[in-house]
Amino acid sequence: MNGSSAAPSASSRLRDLRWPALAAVAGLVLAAMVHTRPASQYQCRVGRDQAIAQGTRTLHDNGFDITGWTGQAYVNVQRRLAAYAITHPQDPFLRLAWPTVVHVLVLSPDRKTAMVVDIACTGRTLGWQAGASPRGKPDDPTTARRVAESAMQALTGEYARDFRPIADAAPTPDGLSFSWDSTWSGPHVSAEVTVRNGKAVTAALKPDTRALPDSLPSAFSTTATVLIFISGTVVSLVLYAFGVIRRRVNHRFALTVAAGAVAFSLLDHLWGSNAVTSLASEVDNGVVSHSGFWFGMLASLLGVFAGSMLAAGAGLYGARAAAPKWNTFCMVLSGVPGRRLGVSLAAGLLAAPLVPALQDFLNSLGSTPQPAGLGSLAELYAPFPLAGWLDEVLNPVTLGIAGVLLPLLWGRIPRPALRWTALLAVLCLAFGVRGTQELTARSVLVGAVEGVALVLIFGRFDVLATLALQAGTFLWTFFWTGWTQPAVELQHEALWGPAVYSALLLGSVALAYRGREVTEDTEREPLKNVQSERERLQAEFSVARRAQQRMLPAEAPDIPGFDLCASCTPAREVAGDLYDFLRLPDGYWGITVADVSGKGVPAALYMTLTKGLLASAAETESDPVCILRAVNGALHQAAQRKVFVTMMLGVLDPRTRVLELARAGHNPAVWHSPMRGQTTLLGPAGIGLGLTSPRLFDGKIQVKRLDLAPGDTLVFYSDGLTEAMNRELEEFGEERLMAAVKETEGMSAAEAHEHIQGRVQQFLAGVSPQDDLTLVVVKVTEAHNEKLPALSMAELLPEEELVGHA
Amino acid sequence: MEGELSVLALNGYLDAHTAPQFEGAVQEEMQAGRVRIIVDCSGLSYISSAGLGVFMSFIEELREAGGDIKICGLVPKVEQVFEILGFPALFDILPDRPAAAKRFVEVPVKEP
Repeated sequence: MNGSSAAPSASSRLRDLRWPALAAVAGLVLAAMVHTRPASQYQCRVGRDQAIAQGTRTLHDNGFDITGWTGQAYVNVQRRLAAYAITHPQDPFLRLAWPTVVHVLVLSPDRKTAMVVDIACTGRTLGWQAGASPRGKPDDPTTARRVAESAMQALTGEYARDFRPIADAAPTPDGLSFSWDSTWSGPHVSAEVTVRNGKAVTAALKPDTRALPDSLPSAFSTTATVLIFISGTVVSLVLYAFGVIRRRVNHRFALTVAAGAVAFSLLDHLWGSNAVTSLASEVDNGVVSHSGFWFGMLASLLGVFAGSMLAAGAGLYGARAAAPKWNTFCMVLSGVPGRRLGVSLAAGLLAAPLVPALQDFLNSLGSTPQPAGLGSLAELYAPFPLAGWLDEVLNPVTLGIAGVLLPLLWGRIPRPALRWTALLAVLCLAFGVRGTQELTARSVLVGAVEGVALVLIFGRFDVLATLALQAGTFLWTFFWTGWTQPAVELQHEALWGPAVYSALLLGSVALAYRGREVTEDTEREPLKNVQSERERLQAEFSVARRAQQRMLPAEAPDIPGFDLCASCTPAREVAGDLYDFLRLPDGYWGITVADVSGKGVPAALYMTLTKGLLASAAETESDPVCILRAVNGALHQAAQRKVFVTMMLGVLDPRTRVLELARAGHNPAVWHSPMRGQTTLLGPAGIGLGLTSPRLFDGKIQVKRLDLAPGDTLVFYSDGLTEAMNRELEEFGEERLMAAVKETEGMSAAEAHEHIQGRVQQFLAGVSPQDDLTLVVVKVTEAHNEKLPALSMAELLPEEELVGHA
Repeated sequence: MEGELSVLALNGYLDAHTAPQFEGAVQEEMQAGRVRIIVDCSGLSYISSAGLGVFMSFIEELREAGGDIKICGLVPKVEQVFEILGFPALFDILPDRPAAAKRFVEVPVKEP
């Protein structure tokens, strides 16, 4: 998406936020317009504290001693009732049956027993359950009826006369039960009271919701949701598995994200709406099961962990071409305050207000709006408002959409038009289907608003922006849901929404303006899996080693009258030594060994350069001094004296068996001549290559001319051989080398080579060599029956210094 | 004639780790205008290519400024390394400090 490598300026970065800012303004204006209409569909007149107070009062009024008991509350919504409430607002049915009900849990001090009071959000108590009382003497039906009637009066209030009794003093395990039914036409409400020990232990108003008109059973939306959920999990699982097989999954990243999601979910479980609903599900006949509560929470957290880990790991791996979309998210994890992080966050947050505004607007059109903002309503009644907000933002589902689905499709569909279409289609369908009870065009449209917003933000920005969009959407829905309730308490709670939103927005804009300018590589750097980095380097090393091996001559050339054998054993993965056989002009052959100062990759790089320079010089030169001068000049320029190369170069004329030897700072060569009966070290003067300018170098280099005889052995090597150290810290040395060369009399080059190697290995006795080991053996074949005179010292060394003599 | 001579004594190992220290010391002398340097290697037990590179880095500059590096006190092992590389052709190598100081009088700047 951002193809240019130059970092954009601050103003251009903020320019990216142009459209989101516009969206924010539009969203706020539209929402204000929409919400000036009559208050919300939920009509919540009691806040959390009020509800708890009312609940405890009700229980007290009915004769239950609840001193020292604590109260919790959570909200439940009956969707069918919600739809009905909007379409038939005047139906008396709704006086006694309300879609949003606050369940007040009153817990004993030892937290082992609980009583439940249901209060409609309009403020009417709808019933209570005070739990099983101990069996006392059986109740007198008359007194029991009086108790029941007074309880029923409390519930039905001014509508009591619309009820007629249908069951009288029916004995049940819990006590004597009394029931009434409403007399009006239309959906019914029944009232039921159970009396024991002179107290109404249970009382309930039960609306008959089956009679309500309903175009689509909620099963549809549930099935669709479940299907989407399952397919999402399967996709993530498959992707993750593939990633693991290819060893490209960043497990550390996935685990970090999963840990974060679990932490957020934990917050929700402890202080959010989840805390109380979990508790409520453990309340059975007034007995609280704590183990059940903890077990349930653990199971839920485990699910969040597994789901988030799968989604994060699969998402990062499966993104491929869309991998940069994860960059700002990774920046958050590694704590890098980058500018782009601020921009992404701000973009998502700014675009957020428009989404619920549009949805509410569409919902308010027409006569059958859909229930919306249910999650927000739940949070408004939670022990701490917004405690479950982070859980809403980062969980397996949001990660699945923003992290797996969107990048997957984005990264794998090359053509932009096709890409946008596919994404929009998928998301609109998903959200349209998932969020609705009725499959009408309008409800699909409402769901599609969210889908389109997600795709647009993802396409224009990235994963983090998409998550920020959802975070902002929730905060604004939270605000508007709470603000439009009659209960003042709820309105005040609602203000947390804009407060958190403003803080986040300010922070992200500040970051966008003043954050660190980070290159794309550094963004992802901290996330690099150390293990895969090592493996990547190993892979690169083995490629480099193979490439280097190919650069060395595969086999020794076939020179009539001569037998050659050579090898180079690197100390590390790649070598700083080289040997080469050069076909020079006019039938000459160059034999050379070179050693780059240092080891490993840097040395190997200069070795490659040296080889190139040699090959180039060999095209036109057959004089060893000229070749060395050429290589020195180029190396001196290139290496800037930080690196130098030592080299032994022999130019052979096979026809005359004359070898011209030139040495540039390298170890002297061994010459064994049985015909002359001597073994010598030859070291003509010469400085290492690359150390000095041609001015200095050219003057110092000298050449030595050898008349080779049949049976002669010439050995070139690098200092890795003579300086090979055994456990006693002894070096192999030139003496041992010369002795080994002497022993190879009569052997072929290959045999001699093996013999000398063997001697070195024998000497090392298991110690691995510290330096690259290079050995070139040249044998002069074709025995003639000549006996040549031994060369005198003067003949051997006209002007040069001899380094050693055996 | 300026009689100022600096002496840098090398001890122990001169390799990739310690070469920067040596480099820094030579640079300091150069910046202070002291271009006649004797490097006393009597304590030097080992030298690697990185160490050798330091000598080469400064030599041309020092010589252009009328100074030089003269080496003394090499132990046989290290002297052998220098010889194989052909350093004697580039640097004056003397047995000890007095000899090196004397050399500065006779041949202030070694000619290539």
